[in-house]
Amino acid sequence: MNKLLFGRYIPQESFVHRMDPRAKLVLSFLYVIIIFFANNWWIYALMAIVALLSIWASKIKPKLFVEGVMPLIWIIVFTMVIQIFFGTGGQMYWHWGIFSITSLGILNAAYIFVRFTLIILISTLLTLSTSPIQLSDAIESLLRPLTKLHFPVYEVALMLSIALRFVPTLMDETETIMNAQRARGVDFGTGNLFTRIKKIIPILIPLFVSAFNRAEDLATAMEARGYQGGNGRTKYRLLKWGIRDSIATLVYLLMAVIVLAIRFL
Amino acid sequence: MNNVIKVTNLTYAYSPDTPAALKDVSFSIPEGSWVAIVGHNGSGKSTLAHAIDGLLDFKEGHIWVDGIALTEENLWQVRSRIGMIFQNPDNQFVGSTVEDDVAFGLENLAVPHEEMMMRVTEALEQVQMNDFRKKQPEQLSGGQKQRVALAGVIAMQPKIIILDEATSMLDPIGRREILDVIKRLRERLGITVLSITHEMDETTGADQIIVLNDGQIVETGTPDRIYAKSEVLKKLGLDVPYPQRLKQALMQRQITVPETYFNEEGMVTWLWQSLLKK
Repeated sequence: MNKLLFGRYIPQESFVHRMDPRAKLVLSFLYVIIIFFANNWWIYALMAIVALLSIWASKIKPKLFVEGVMPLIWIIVFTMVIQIFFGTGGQMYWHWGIFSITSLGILNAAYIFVRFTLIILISTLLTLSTSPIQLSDAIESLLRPLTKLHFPVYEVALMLSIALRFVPTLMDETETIMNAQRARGVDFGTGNLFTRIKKIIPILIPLFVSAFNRAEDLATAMEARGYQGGNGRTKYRLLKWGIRDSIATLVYLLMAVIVLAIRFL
Repeated sequence: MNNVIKVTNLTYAYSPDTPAALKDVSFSIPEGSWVAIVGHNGSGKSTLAHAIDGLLDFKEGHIWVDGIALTEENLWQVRSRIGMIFQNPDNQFVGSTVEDDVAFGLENLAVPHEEMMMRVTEALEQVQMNDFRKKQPEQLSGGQKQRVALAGVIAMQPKIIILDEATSMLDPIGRREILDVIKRLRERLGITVLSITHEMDETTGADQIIVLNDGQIVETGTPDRIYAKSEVLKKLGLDVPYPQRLKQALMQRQITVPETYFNEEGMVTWLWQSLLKK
């Protein structure tokens, strides 16, 4: 799970890695929104070119992107199958009860396949080229206007970054507790679902106790180091909008304008 | 010399039903000195350290830090003069990377960004962790994490460093490294060090030792004086450092040993010479 969620960031020196995480986050969102306006192969081709160009600029091995798509392949196939059998319109090829295969159904299934794949590629690019802490900085910066509504943006961001920082620590702790219970004769691998769930309780309770102790220690340490809430703090990590971000934004905006023009004109 | 920490008649209980963790404790610490507070588990030594940093809300007694009375209004002024390092290396690592963690205290003080970069680098160099500045806590050993915590304290330029059993979870090498860095800092910057420990071996370099038991000060004095009272220490569950034990064993065998305390090295030298004298 650690690998799945947080081990994905690939540190590297590249155009994409050095971009402002805010730009990457916003442009990824823009891409996902724009792709839902796509309705012909020209648009998909254009958007695929932009995605591949972005991946090329990140210098990350293409293999890693394939690995990003693979876990979701069954969801894509399932959605495609539904489209093929239940889609209507165009020329009918085959028909049985409520099932029918039509030319439009097949076309839609193909569109869905491309659309899904491109969305996964772009979001994989975001998580592979941006560390979790940069993402949390970006979210904090983008949500800053909400402080006017008294939403504690800074505190939420700090909570997020502390949570991320403690994930590996608590993982290790879980492993230690499991080993301690194994040494006492607990067998986690056997039994039906119910007994297995029951065996998790002697892991969870010590884990919770220790997590609370850690939280208390951490709060004391933070206070001893002068933490008095988010107001009036300066920031060590600064986000800087650079020329790269402007270039990338221009490319993506151009793409958006062309897509919308093809679609609506 | 000025007393940088002064505690008078401090009494504190965690709750009204429990026995007091500190009973009428009074002492003072001269500026620039190294004072060790020793005691077994539950003797109140950590409670005392927390009280000095204003982390406890005590009702009875007074504490002055650098001439400032510790009150609710002066709390942050007092804390800005004290850097504290705690026992568990993991539970005081706030940042997601080494440099972020060192910067945490500076962010709290609202230090401008350029100055912050400088002070972080300087502090990391002092503890020889600059090569690790981009590393995440799980990639570091316990000793390295404590050195980062120390860098976080150094960056804030405190007058006093309190070590709250800061080495008790480390291996001997990690422990040595931390103590060496602190020794160097003291020589260079004249920082006052208050070290809370149950490891008597760590007290040999101290100017003064305060022995706590059940929330009360039992003994105060220089290491020589304290180690000479090994019977008292043993009763309190504290171990006398090895050279001192050797000295006592020799005395039991009717060999006269000089009264003053030796560290391990001094003891070895004396043993050589005593053989030559025969």
